[in-house]
Amino acid sequence: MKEGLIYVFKRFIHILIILLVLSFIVFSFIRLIPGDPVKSTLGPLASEESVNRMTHELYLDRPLVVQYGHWLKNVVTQGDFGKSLLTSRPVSLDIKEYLPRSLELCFLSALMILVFGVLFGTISAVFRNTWIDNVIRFLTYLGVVTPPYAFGVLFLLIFSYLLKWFPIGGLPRFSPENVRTGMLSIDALLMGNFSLFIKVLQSYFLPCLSLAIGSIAYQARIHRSAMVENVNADFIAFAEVAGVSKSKLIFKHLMKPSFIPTLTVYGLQVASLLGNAFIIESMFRINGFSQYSLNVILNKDPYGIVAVTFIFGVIFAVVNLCIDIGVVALDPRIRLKGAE
Amino acid sequence: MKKKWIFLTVCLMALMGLVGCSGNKTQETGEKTQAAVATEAPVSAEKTVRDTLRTTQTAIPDTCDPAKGSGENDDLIFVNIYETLVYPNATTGDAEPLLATSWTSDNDGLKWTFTLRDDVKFSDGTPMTANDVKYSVDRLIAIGEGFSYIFKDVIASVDVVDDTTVVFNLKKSFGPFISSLIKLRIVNSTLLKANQLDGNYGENGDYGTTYLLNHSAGSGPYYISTFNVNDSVYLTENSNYWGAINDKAPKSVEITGLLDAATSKMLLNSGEVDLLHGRQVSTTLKSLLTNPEFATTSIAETGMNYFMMNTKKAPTDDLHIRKAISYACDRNAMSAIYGGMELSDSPIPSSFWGATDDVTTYPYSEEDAKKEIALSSYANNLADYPVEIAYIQGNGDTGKLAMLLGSELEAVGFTVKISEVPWVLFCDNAATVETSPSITNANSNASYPEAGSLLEVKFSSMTAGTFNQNEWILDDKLDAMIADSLATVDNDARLAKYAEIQKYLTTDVVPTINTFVGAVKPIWNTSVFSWPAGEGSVHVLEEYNYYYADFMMK
Repeated sequence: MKEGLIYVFKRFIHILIILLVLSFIVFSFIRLIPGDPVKSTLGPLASEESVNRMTHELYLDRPLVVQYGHWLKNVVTQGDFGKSLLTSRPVSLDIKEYLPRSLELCFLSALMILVFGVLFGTISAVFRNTWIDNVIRFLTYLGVVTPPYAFGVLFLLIFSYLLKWFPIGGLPRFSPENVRTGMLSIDALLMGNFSLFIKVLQSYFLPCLSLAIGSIAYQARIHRSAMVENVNADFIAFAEVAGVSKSKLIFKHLMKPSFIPTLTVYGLQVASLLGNAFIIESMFRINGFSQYSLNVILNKDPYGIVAVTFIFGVIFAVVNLCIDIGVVALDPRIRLKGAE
Repeated sequence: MKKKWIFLTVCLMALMGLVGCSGNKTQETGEKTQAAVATEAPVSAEKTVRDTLRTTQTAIPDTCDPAKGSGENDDLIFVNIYETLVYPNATTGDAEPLLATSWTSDNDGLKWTFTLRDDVKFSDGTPMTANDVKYSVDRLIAIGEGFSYIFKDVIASVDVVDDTTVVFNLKKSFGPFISSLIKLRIVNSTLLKANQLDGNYGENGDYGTTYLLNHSAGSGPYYISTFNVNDSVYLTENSNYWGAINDKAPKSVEITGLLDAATSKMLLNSGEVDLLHGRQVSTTLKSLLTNPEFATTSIAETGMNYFMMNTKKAPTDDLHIRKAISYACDRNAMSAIYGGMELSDSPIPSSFWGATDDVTTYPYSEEDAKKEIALSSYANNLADYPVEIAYIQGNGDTGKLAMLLGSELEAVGFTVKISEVPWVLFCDNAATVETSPSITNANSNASYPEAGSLLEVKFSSMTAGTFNQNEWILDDKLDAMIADSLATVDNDARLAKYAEIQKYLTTDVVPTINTFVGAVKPIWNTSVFSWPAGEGSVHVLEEYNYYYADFMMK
């Protein structure tokens, strides 16, 4: 227990240092991009006075170190990431509005990846070298090589447009007083409106599936390989000799060690979901964080870019920390090594 | 414990699956999704579908503040929620009374007195007075964004005489003053003062800019009921509107920012959207028009598509080279790419007040192009000076125009490089002569329907270094001609001066190829509504075609 806590604490400190370095690097690199973001925002005919006023207001006329210090102080003390040139609002407000929707999208996608990835991987491994295995391997190969937007268009066309099972993108709209968490499914439940909750899930289903399908396929392949590798291990042979039932052999003795590579890859995939979601968000008209991130980058919005990079860094780090903790729980050898 | 979690997870997945298979009852129940009709929206919950018009724009602006926005997407919303002292005539663009009933000026045009209507109310019921006019002008100029550039060097002060009389004192004569007032939108000063926060404008705080991030403060036939930044805007009919709104006009309008062609097509086909914005690529338009219920029309913009030649960079710094490029460009073929667009010999659209038909541009002729190259200083080493043609990424079919021009230039001996450039980079590149490409393709639009506006924003030194002017003309003579014409109050004299400038540009400077008059082609479902533009009454100013109070729901 103590070793585990030391390990987690060390990782937490690492993450903090990485985030600080990351924010400073991004902050510096933005200044290297040619052109004046304020002029681009206000347009070619804006008066010099208003350009100067906004430049001063945004601290962009100060030395880089002063700007960074000011920004960091506001982030730490007030959670204020600065003002966005794209939306003319505080970036923290934008994050509060857009991030929950994308997190919801990614969380549901992550759930699909875990459940279906492990399920298909296990089935494929259990029935290895049979027609079932071959079909799953073929489909997963197809899933890995096909980009998510292709599935998005296909699903929209078949399930939304032709069969009318799902809406053609968009999310149910909530009146402002009913938006509490920003995650619509949770807000719908908090309202006690189950039909709205169903509608939210219905709206999320196709975008989640489009986003997750490639990762499900990849996850299934990884899990299958891990299981097939462990089938020949000594401890499985011992368990078989000891007369352990087949189901117990698969779900207890084989699944647990096979989960370590699966979980590691899963972490990377989940962390990258948010960054990859912008096409899906655009296609399914979900005004989310990934699309916002792309827009701030395209519009060279300095505080927006630093904030989204920072948030991506935090999410990447937290997801990986969770995965590491999971791996530590599964494999005591890592726990002991980490505490050394 | 572990089993419980597994069980819960599987249940949630099964629920999602069930949800999918249960079928989408959206259309049957009339409940809509975010971009269609709001399920929980306070606005449209009680409306029937036919009361609500659902339309798209290429983007939703970050704010609907009339002191900030100046783009097409801003204007399309502004005309419905804000009003101006004058209104442009639908066919001529001439200013007619709107909030002002009449106006007079002194002889040199430095003092203009307006009499205002006394029955105008803003959407919150507050009566409009001369104080609101003064506040709107002061606010626009103080903020210094949007259309303030038109007025900041022109208006010295505004005096309120009484509730219905207001005097504009000008710093200098400005011929198109009345025409330009269509960009001066009157805001509700009482409402904005009540909602102002601390800010950069002294006693005016933030001038209500924070409030206007998601509200409106106008007297137009609609007001903003919900504003989702960069996503959608919901307009609701203004029950306090002083003018007449036809009975069949939509009670609410839902405007969504939507670019994706595949989604746009599906939404129109499935009836979830009634009107698609006019910047679809030709293939989308063509495929949608196979449905007999859909129709399109061509609405001219207040400007043109131009190929802008950098006059300060080799080889386009040579007049003969610019003439050669003009001769090599087949404008008819370019117009055909867009399904047939109006051509104009003048750099000003022919429908504009002040456009002249007394100029002739360079007809397509490879032979003449080669002759001009032979006369240029680059005749012997043209290959050493590759010509870069840059166009804006995602800007409809403009890439096809660039490629066509590229192949035409190669046919007469140029070495060509074509670049597709993201918008922000396109603007950055335009900032210096060195980074400006040899040729760029972009649209430039006037702010008010008069030649002087386009001549100023397109060709005067004021816009050198912006996407509007890759040419870097920087010609003192031209600047003086434009300034002189704009300062001329007499209409006939101003008209003659505009014509002189157009001749000078076409024969002596040749900075630009006037590809064609810009136009948008919206597509709509004729079974849902009819609108004046669809019936052939196209307003001379693009945004006024989207005046939803004139729409008739079916």
